[in-house]
Formats: sequence, structure tokens, C-alpha cells
Amino acid sequence: MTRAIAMCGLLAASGLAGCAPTPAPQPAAPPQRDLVVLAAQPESGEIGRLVVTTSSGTVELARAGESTTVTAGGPPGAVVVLDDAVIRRHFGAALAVQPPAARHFNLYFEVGGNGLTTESRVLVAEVVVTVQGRVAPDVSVTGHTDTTGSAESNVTLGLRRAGLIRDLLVQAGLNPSVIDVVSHGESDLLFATPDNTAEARNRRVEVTVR
Amino acid sequence: MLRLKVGSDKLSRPEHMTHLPFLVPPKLIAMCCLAMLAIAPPVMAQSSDAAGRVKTSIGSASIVRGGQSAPAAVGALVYESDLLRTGADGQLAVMLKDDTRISLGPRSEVALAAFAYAPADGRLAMVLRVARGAMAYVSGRIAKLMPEAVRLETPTSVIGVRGTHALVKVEAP
Repeated sequence: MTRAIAMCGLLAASGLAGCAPTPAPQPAAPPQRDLVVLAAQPESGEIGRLVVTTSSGTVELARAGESTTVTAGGPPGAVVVLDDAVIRRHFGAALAVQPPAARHFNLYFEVGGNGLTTESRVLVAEVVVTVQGRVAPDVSVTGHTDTTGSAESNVTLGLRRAGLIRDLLVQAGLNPSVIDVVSHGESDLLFATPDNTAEARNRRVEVTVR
Repeated sequence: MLRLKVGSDKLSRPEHMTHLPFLVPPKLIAMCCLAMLAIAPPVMAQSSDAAGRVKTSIGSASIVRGGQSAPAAVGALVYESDLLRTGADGQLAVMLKDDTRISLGPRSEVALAAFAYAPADGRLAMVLRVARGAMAYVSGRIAKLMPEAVRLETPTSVIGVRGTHALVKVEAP
């Protein structure tokens, strides 16, 4: 029997059709302790992976709706796919208040200057509109550089560029108290490059509206 | 905060500052203040130490910090080590600096046991401890930059997150 249940889990995990209609025990109200479910990303539909570990075992969830129930002292239970109605019953209240996803805007400076490119100037106005449409908004202005020069000098350079964008956003009407200015220097490249590589696409200021 | 009264009630003005309004016009003081703001480092922004902010709060919802509980009002800041708690009619949503979204159903308790989002210093951490109730978690940048830095914990298990959307429910014993 245990083996049949394990097979069920395996079949479900590999995406094959459900188990044969053997009377697999579907406990209506299991004595569960913790329930862990993998869901699709609300906006993109992207599906990640969860690895659930206890002192006596590990289970991996890799498809939307896959779940495991963990009872204290035991290994994570076999993977069970939950349908939307069951997920809503357990998590409906939490899902109902999920905030909208953050929006990101990459702003670029004209080559050799402190002025924004035409496209980026248009984005500044869009940032302001997006902020105005949010409840209790936060804005992060993050300076990024390419990998030319030292990591430390790039943090400073990124911070200076981010400060310029912050000033533009305040001029455009944003409340300075919701704006956070930071620099990630060369630690968060948009396009991966080796060290000491000039790459215009990495020299950007990223504005995040949350 | 120094406040200079420039009304006609000279008697109420402290003796030692009676001459000030004449030497330093209020307009000039205001300009000085603005100039100081302008040269202040931008990293001093008010929310820079916070991990995130409350975006939705319905019914009974609170933030427990250092043993003190305060209502989790919309717009309230959330810090590392804070405990988020909802009552029988409560729902609460928080968004963290790295875009992580956390939302709680009723009768729930989730601690932001660890949070660091400073990629330039190589400091990335996110530990959410679900003590009871239901939590929906949508991963943010920390999970992208360093998946092993993200951990969801329940009383029975540790959950490693490789991106996206996790739902965790803990039945109180």
C-alpha cells in the first residue's frame, strides 16, 4: 500500500496521468501539521522549485499545485497535486491581499553626458504615474555600472548616477521620503560580462516601484 | 526643532533671542534648511534601514517588535526581526525591499527572522519563520541573485526556495 502511494507521488511528479482507480485513501481531514504548496508566479506564470526538508527526509516540489504535508517528527509526505479549489480553501485569504508585483524601469544616460536618453526621459514620466497608482508606494533608485574599474569605485559611481535620477524624480513631483537611493555597483549586471568590460547596457539606473 | 516666532507678541519671546528675527530673516533660514537638505547624502532616505512596508492591512493585524505590539497600519515600515501577526479577522500584506511579497491569512504569525539586501556588500539573506496560519510568498531579487540565501521555516521543516510562489500553512498544535 505504502508503495502504491509512493508510486502515485512519482507519477504525479513526472506529470503522467493520475493513478489507476485503486481505492487510494484520500483523507478528507488529514492530521496535518504543515502544508507546503508550490504555485505559479501570479503574473508571469513562471514555476520555480521548493525543496522541503525535515530531520528525516526531503521532498521536492517542481510543478504548479504540487504539495506535501509534513507531520511533526516524520519525513515530508508524498507529493500530492492540489486543485485550485483546495488551494483557495487553505490560502484564499492570504492570496486575496497579495500586493501587485513591483515594476522596474531601466534608465540610461546619453554617452559621455549627465543627460538621459530620450527614451529614458519618457520613462521618468511613466514612473511618476505608476507611483501615483499605488497604495503606500516605495521607490528604489539603484545605480548600476559595468565592470570597468574597481568594485569600490563603481559603487560610488553608481550612487552618483542614482542621485541624479532621484533629483529628476523629485522635480517630477515624487515625495522624496518614499525614495530610497542605493548603488549595487558592478554586483548586479543586466548582461553578464567578465571583469573590466565596458558594456553600455550595464551602465544604468534602475527604478523600482513597489 | 528651533521655532522662531515673528508675531507682534514680543513679551512672549525668550529674552536671548529677541534680536534673532532681525539678523536672520526667516526666509534665509528656510533657504539654509533647503541647502542642507540638498547636500545631505541621498542614502539617508527615511526608509533605508527598513526591510519593507505594509501594503494591505485588514481587520486585526499587528507588528511585534522587541516584544511591543503595534497595529500594522498601511504604510508602516517592517524591519528585520519583526513578527507579523493577524487575528481571527485579519489579513496582512507586506512587500520587502527586494520585491518579495508576503501575505498572511487570519490567525497567522510569520517572523522576518533574517533580512539583508545589499548585493554590493555581498550581503543577501531572507529567513521567514511561519509559526502558525497561512502565508503566501512570492520570491523577489534575493532569490534570483542567491537562491541559497532564502529559507522558509515551519515548526517541522525547512523549505529551500528556487524562485517564484510558495504557499505555507502551519496548523497550531
